[in-house]
Amino acid sequence: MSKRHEQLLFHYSSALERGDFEAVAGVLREAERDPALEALILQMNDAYTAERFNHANPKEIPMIAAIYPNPTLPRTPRIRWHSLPLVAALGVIALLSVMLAAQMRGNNIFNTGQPGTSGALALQPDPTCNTGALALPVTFYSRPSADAAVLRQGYGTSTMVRDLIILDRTSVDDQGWYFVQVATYTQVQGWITAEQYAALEHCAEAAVVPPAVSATLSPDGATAVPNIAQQPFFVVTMPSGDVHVTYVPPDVQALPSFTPTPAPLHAEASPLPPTIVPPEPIEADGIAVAATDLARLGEGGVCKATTLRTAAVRSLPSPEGVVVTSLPRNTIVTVGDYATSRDAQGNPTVWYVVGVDEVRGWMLATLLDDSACPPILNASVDLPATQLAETRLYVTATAMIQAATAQASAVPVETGVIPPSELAPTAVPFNIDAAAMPPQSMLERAGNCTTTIRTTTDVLSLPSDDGVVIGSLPPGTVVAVIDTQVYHDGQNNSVLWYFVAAHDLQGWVSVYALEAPGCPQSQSEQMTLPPTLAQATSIPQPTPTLAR
Amino acid sequence: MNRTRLRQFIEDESQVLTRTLGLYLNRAGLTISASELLSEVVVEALKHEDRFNPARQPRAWLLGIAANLIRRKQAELARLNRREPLARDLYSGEELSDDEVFDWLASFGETESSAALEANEAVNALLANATPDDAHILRLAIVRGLDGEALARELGVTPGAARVRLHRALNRLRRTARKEKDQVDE
Repeated sequence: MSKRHEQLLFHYSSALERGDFEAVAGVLREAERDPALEALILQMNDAYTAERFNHANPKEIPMIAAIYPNPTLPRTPRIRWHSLPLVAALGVIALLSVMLAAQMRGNNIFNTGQPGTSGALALQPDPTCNTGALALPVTFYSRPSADAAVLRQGYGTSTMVRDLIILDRTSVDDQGWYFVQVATYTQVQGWITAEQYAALEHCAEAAVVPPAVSATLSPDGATAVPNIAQQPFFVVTMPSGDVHVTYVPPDVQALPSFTPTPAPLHAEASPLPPTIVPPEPIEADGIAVAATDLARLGEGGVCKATTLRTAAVRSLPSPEGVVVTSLPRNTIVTVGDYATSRDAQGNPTVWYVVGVDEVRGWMLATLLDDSACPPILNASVDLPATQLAETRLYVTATAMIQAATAQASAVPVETGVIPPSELAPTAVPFNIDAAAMPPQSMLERAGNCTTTIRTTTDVLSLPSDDGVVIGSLPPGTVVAVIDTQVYHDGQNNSVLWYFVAAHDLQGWVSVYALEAPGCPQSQSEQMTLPPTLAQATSIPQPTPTLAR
Repeated sequence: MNRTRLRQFIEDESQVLTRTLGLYLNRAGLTISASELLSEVVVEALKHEDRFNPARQPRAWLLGIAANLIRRKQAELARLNRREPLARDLYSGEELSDDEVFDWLASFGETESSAALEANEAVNALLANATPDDAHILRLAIVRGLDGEALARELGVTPGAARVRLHRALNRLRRTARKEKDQVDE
């Protein structure tokens, strides 16, 4: 191999390590005309990706599984919790049974009146889907209409259906529509047709491959952990990089039950999760592996917080965590614990462990009004959110847990009660960043037509008060204006609505909330929405083929 | 490569592409999914399909599109956060560039025998500052002059993994290399 190749490979790997994609692109341009160099680069990429899958990101494995029905999966990582007792595996099996029961109850968004999540369906993969994975066009519209402004177009993959959070749905002229948000890329929101969603869903893999399928669960030998049909979202996790199990001290009190207070919703939207019977905590070697109990937050115990907007509950403290469920605005959740990390820009972020009914998971602190919770100690921040193995989880723990974690895991775990005197004096801010500009793609869509929010306003899924509230924008927020619509309520009342895009939120606001934009120059055809929109008939329901 | 063949190629390669894009996104610190990025790459590739020279390597072309998309997203994030792109922050001006590091270390093997290199004070000082693992692989590369394939056989890993380890060891020595180079140049 030539010295030139070695030099370019060094240039490529150094650039990749430091995230310099301008330099990466430069080497790839050389590789376009040099097949030997291309082959060497692909060799290095294989080495890097093999490294990554040794610390598997659960989001990546099902992505591959979804494209090919029977993929050759990367080597599954070993569980490092060598002291995890055998009985814990039985607990996992118990959880699997509960989840199967939940599925059989109809945790399916297509059941009328049933709550559901966008990723909970189990379908038998269609053998034609493997070649069609990239041929699923997805178009996001500003309104449930094919003549509305197109917000985004692209090729959907079968994994996208698991990333979609359905915020609203309706039927117009017998055409079903969903207002969705791509959970892993929250700048993508809009209306898609029910047929597009069904096509994505039809090709979705039945099972989400868990991060670990084999493990040494006891010192006596290896016991395989059974494949779980979907992320065990009600096992609150202590991230280890390749397995997610919670150790909770035996003396932690069970949470008192409470009833969340949902905001008024559009008639067709009901994202609250079903009631799931949790398994009993399992005692093993003095360590209680409690699937549903939450650790305490400092000495104050658990606290309550309220969702500020429709918010995703995830299986991991990372935007790459699988969306377990979505909670509507004004849902009261119980906060039991937290973890700190950094976002992609290096800013410190806080994730809370939240609970609603028997569902547990992680939620960004910025999506919650946590003013009733004790301020979080502003401790040194961990590695970026994508490196979950390093995430620090503060727990109240007994000496047994300290010994178990020290023995079994490389994850630095802060243990012990945090005295109130050490808590930071100010709470983590939670307001939406009004200073953040709209995404460049939205500015281009809007033809650089922008304006400013005049007063705190709700953002809705429809150009009508019947739309679901999907968020709110504070005054001073700069938004791109993409579409306009006059809403006639059938009683000689007309209101002008604008489809706007802020940094992380897109939807409809009334003209009263904006500084007069003066643009766009062209407007959509005025459409009279029927006054019976709120009572729209249920959308046509495809018949999924259940895997079980 | 016409549109249909390009799409077929992308579908055939989608597994590898998705894994590589996941790697790129991880390195870039972006939180979008690899499938989302692949979708954008597909749109861009089909949009500019007429610019692709069929005599060239399609994988490198597609990965180059992805790298440029990532670069744009990084620039957008940097603008939103009103800070310089990450790549610039890593060079303090005291560190050697990639080419300087490579040329300086390659120069050892061009003029001295392995035995001489073993006794070379500059090399030994360099390796003394390295971790044991780094020193081992650097000794193989610098003193024994092993290239990627030979290095892989010696380490018992793939050639790609061997290069990754070597390059990381070199990068960790960047600061040390500057001081040693300055002393040698004096």
